[in-house]
Amino acid sequence: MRVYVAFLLVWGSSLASAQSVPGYLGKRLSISYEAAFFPTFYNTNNPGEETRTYEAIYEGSSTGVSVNYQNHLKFDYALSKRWSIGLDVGYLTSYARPEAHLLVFFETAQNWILQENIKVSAFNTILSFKRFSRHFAPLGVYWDYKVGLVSYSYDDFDYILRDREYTIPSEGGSSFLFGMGYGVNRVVADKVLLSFGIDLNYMLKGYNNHISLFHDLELSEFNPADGPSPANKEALLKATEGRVFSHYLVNFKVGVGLLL
Amino acid sequence: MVGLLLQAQDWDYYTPLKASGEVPAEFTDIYATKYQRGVETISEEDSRKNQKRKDDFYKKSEYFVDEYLVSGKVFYGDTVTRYCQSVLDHIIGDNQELREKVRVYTVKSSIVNATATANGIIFINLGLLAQLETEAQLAYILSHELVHYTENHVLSQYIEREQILNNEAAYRRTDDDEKMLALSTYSKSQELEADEKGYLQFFSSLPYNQKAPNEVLDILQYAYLPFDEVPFPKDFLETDYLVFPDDYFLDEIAPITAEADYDDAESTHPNLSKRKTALQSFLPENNNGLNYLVSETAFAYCRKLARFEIARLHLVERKYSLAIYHSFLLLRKYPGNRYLRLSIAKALQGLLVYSNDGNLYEVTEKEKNIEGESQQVHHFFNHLSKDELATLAVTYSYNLKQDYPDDPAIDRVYDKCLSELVWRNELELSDFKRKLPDTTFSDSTSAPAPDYRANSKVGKIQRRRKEKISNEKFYTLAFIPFMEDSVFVNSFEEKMARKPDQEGRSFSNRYEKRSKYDRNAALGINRAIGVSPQYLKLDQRDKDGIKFISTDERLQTYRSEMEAMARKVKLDMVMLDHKGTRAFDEQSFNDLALLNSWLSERIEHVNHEVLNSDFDYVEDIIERYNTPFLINSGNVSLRVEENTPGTILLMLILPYYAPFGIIDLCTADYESLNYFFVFDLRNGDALLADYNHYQSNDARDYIRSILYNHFLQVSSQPKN
Repeated sequence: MRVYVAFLLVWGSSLASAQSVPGYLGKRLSISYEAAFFPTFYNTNNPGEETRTYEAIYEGSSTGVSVNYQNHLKFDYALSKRWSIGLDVGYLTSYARPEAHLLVFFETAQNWILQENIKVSAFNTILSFKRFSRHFAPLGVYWDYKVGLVSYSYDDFDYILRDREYTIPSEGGSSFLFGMGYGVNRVVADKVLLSFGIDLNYMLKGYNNHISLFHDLELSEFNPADGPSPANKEALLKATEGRVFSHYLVNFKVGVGLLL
Repeated sequence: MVGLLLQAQDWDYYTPLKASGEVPAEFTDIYATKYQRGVETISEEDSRKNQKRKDDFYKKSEYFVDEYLVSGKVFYGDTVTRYCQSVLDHIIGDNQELREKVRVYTVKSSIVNATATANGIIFINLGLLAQLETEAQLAYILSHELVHYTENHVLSQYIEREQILNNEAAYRRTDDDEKMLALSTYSKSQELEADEKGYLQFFSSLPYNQKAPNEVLDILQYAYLPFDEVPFPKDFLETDYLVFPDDYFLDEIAPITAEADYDDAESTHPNLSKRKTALQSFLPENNNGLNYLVSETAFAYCRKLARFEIARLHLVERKYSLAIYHSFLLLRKYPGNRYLRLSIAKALQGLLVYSNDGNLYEVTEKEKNIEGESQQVHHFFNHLSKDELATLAVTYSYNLKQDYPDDPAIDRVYDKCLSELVWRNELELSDFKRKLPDTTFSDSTSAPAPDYRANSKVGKIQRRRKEKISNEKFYTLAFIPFMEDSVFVNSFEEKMARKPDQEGRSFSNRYEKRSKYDRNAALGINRAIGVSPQYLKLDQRDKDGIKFISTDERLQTYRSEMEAMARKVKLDMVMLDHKGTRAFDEQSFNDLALLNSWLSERIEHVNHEVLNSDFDYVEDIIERYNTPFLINSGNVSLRVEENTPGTILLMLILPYYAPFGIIDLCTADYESLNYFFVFDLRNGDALLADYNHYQSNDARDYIRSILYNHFLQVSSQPKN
């Protein structure tokens, strides 16, 4: 790891010292807030607050459409005319629907009463390198190459089975993420940075459990009667990974920031 | 009158024609104002379609006339312009309205032409004036152009053209061939009308020589030839020791084939024969009249000015052979003239550099395309080898230097020619003879050797020596008279001692390195001259292509942005621009015109290290603005037609492409190009030649960012 960090530092400083970096009118640092979002058609992202039976939802309810949403705080610094380095700190909350992510035995499912969906949250720290192809960093069209770490967890999960209340306590995990983005930065009044674009990210964990637009489900087996058993915890963690994976996979992004 | 017209001119140290007096408003008014003036003349009684057409016409014509006025080629208030205006005043007479509306400007162009615009400007090219024989001929040309204005020919031709191309009015059922014929016929009829009315309404009422109209047509018949036809003598560029082989010269030059009755089917003008025939119907039998009303002296003076200026224009246009022939013609009348001899030296220098670069074809014409005596010059330079040309250029420039030992301009040309000879041709002093070959043993008589010498010792030695002498390169004798001259020998040896590394000084190598997109310069310049920026907004979806009004608007913005970015990097930039915010006076006008001419020539040279022909004239500008650095920049932005079906198809085939496709369809596509040059006026070096091709529009942030990057490179101090 130290080798990579040293390489990045040497590379960055060599780029910076090789030329006078214009930035945008001399401004090389930007801080911006970026919202990443994408519609979800199958795994509707909502808390599901109404008490309902698993079976009823599974068999009859429409999933509807909702929006997956993330918040990002980004720091970018123009290393050269074409490259900028950035730190992206992001946060998301979401809900994984048990009926979409978990495979429950038919007998058990008939008596399983859910009060809410599985609440999932994730936090990312991403190092990004943007290459500006048409103008000078940080302006214009760019390709973003990213590597980072995502920490995710689910909240305590409560449900009732045959009049008995169960709670599966919160658990979490982490995964590396690689990504690539395409976007456009524009500058208003020489100070305000507006950005929009699209991101594609691949989290190393979660692919087998994610629900995308075009893939069939791969469900984790969950037995509500076992309560917080290791197998159930693992199933919920997999559902969480899948949910977070889906969040990061494809996103539109819109941002606003300041040039410093 | 004559005294008023003539400006003092030292012909040996000829200075380019300069504008004089307050800059007329039409040079400094912005395009939008002019367009608006044109629009105000449109009558509401016109049909809506015609109103729209006229609006389009003013949009276009005012744009192009404005571009021409600020091109640096058009001059006001100079001697030639004032003289032409005096002639025009005679023609117009008491017609006060016409007097107020029509004005003449001189155009620095060697092309034989005059034009009139819809708003009353008559442009007279120096190329035309150089060929005229009398003031009466000039008066007839002005009369002809005046009719184009009074009869509103430019506007009516535009409307007619639109009707033809859009199948309207009488052209409803015409096919393409008929349309082309109609287009051509209409403009020809206007020319005949201008000939006739020019004579009847204006010229005929003046006591001018009534043969002038016919004479003008004669002149036009041979307008493609230089102003005179004189055989170019073999010994013109020779010296006692530089004698060119006879086969370097043509025995016969191509005959002049111009005819008056040429095929004019695809021409906008009727052929000269038809025009002459038409003239006969109204020209009087009695052809008496005066050749001069204003002044014969002024005419001769202005024509001389035009001819001297054209020697310079040929150099700027890189027509080196023609510049030499033109200067030769003038030298016959003004022998020993320094300016003309320097022009020849400059032309030889230009030919030498292009020849050494292997690109002589760029600046010489194929001799088979040339008619008349000037063909000899083209033939000669096409046959001269690189080393012969280098020797000729050095010989000519050194001879000139001997006559003007303290002349810095001649010094520069000689130094450049010598650099080429030593560094590029790689000739050394030892390659040239110090004295004529010893001919003691050669047979001095032309009589054939006696038979008994055929195989004798003396005969064999004499034969071998004769053969050796005839095989010598003739040009190696050229410097014999200079070999005892310490100035020549020292300068030669100094050049040999300072011979640079070929690799390092190669321009093409340098440009390869520069072609990297992210090249980065640090020029450390703190003061520079900026010349009028250029701007063009195009739209592929439009019939006309050019977005005239937004081009003008964006040009104003671009100019301001350039100034703002220069200030931001603390570069003191003097922006010379007709439409700029800085006071624009006569001095600025002349400086800008000269810089534009310098710039256009320099850009044509691309990577050929030729001395720009105006190098000696820009020295005053360097001194006046206290900087030798010249900045020129511009931007072209093209909105391209969207490939909607292609994008939709791609989205269907690759669903993951859909988000990108949607963005693509929702946003307009652009192709833009920004360029930025920094030149050193002292030596023509391109210190920075940046091209930014970007596939986005020309929004403010993009333009500012690009300009900031350019200016940062200009002002950044180089790292040690």
